Amino acid sequence: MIAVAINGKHYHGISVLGSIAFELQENQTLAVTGPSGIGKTTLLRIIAGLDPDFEGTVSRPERIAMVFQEPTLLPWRTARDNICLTTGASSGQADAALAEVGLEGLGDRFPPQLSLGQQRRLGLARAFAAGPDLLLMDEPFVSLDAAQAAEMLALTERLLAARSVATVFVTHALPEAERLADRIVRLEGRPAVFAPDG
Amino acid sequence: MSKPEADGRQPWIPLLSLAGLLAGWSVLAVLGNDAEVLPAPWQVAPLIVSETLSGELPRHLGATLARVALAFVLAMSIGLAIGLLMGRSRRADHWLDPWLIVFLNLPALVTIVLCYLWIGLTEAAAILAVAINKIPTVVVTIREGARALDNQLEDMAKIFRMGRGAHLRHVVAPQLAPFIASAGRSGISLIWKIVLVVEFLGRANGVGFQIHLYFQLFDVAMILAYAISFIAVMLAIESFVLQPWEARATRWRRA
Repeated sequence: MIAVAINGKHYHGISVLGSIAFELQENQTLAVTGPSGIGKTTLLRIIAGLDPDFEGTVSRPERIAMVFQEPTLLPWRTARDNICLTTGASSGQADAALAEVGLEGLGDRFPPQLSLGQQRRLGLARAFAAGPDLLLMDEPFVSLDAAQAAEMLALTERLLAARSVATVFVTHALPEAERLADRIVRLEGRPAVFAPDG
Repeated sequence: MSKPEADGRQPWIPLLSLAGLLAGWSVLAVLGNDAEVLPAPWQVAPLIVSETLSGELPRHLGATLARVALAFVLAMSIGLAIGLLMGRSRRADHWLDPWLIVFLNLPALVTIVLCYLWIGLTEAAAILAVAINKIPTVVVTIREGARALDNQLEDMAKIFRMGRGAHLRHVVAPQLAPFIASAGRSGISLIWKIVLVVEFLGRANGVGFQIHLYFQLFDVAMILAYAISFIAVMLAIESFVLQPWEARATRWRRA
């Protein structure tokens, strides 16, 4: 399904990632934890194909979706258009996706008219509306308050359970990883590699 | 008093401001008391009416407007493409930046004269000369816009495999809209001034040609009549085309 075999990643001569290899099957969720700045997002960008400048190979499916650290929405397009224009979903499908994340009736709102929690839900709806074979999530609950983070976590858990999708989930919060993932690996060291118990 | 608009602007202020300019002109004309040097607004206005009724003013205005429009489209299209390229590619920026500095510092008069000498006193030479003068300033503005494009949105567009057209229309264009509007507004005011010089030097019609004609006759009133008419047309384009377009492109900011 997805096979990652990274031999190394350098930034301006500094080795950031070391040897990292794993495989992920459909329906599996891998959580990557580790302290801030260790290279979790760099790893995710390599897996996503956004950073081709590394040593090694990544075999990934064509249909990928990502939930970013920031909501990363088109502020000049409505919530519905944010889903339709990026995923190719019809208006009806977009409305259904919005309803699924609790944003029913808000399809005509522009992102700046939504709260941060709602914007994150929209980002989640967009990712799932794309019908991905590989879902990448980069700390999707960061900067939310405890109640909102718990709600988002439950929502993500429900959406993942309803679909058969390989997921790589980056977080620095172990409880989030334990709740969502089948496997948890920890990045550590410099260059960063998976910890032996990971 | 009309109700203030959402951004706090009072719609009557620009009108009052223009009325003030008109009043200042009137006072100077009265104090000068020489209609050959500075005619008063009430002496210029009948000339605008008579030239309009005779068909001369619309004919020359139309010729100048057509040149402005063609040069504007040409300069904006080429400037947009080069600005985007330079803003997104460091290598292209390094190679093209010295050219940009050369063309930014090339005097408009030199470009116009050279175009007329090399291509001839033709419409193509006139429009090309105006466009060459404007392209560098469009490039500078659009390059700034392209440098400021949100990289996270670029990543998002790649991940979701947005098509080239959809990416340009829904991701790039809305971010560039304020820069395009700025380049367009400053462009149109600069272009029409250069068009007048081009017409002054080598065309047989247009507002610039008429100004040349009345300059030779030392007819200040007719020069003002043609200049004011064209300024009025450009103000109308600014108010009824550029500003509504800009307001529409940025309506999400006020949503």
